Amino acid sequence: MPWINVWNNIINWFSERTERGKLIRSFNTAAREAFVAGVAPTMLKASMSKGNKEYRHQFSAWINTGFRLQALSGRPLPKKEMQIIGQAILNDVVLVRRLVALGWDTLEIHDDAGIYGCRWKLIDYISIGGMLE
Amino acid sequence: MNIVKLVDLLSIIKPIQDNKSFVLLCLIGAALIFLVGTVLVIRHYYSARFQLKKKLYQNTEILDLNSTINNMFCAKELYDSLKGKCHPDNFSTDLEKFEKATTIFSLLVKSKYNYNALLALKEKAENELGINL
Repeated sequence: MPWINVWNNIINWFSERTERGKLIRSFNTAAREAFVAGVAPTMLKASMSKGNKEYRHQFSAWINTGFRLQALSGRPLPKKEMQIIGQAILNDVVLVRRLVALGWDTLEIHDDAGIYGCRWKLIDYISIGGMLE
Repeated sequence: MNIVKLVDLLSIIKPIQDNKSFVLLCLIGAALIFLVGTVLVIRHYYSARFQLKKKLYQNTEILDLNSTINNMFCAKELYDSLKGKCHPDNFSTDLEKFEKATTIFSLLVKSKYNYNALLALKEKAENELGINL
């Protein structure tokens, strides 16, 4: 029945929204604790952003498809440092898969002082389709 | 002009207020919507799809975001120090150590952004290659 599908889609949207919020909150907590403990010299803050339309995939959410990490460093971060932060995320396949499954398609790294940031297309880093080859 | 308008409005509102069946219909409608909504929520909660999803979420790997933060800020330093010490060229005189260093170095490159794996490799290098970091 079509109305059951519509209902399921509505419920799924709400539950995914909750999961997305939970992931962002737990990331922010981990980043804050690492900063307080002195493990991380920069405090990171995760948030949702608009994302890049060109990076969309079939699991992309309707809105806010970007996972943005803002480094609160107080200075413009060089591209190399942004790349290190980005690569650390992209090399964690479980995290990247979770991000893609929850509807994100773009990873963005920004600083709080500079103008520029880095963007990655998440779907390129989830290592799927191995059996299709 | 204003008085005429007010009178006009009253003529519209009054019959509605008088009509008790309209209020009753509204109440029945609201009760029906509430009932259908409750039934749908209960139905969704006990559906096989929801239970399966719940089970899947329970079995998924728990995201270790603390190690992701460590990967961002601690892995690079450790990688750089290990890269210099474990390079196979440092053991070109000892064939056995050269082979071990080649294996360790290839693993090192693979886990460039994985702090936990780098720690394990550090221990392995200290034991097998006799280096001191």
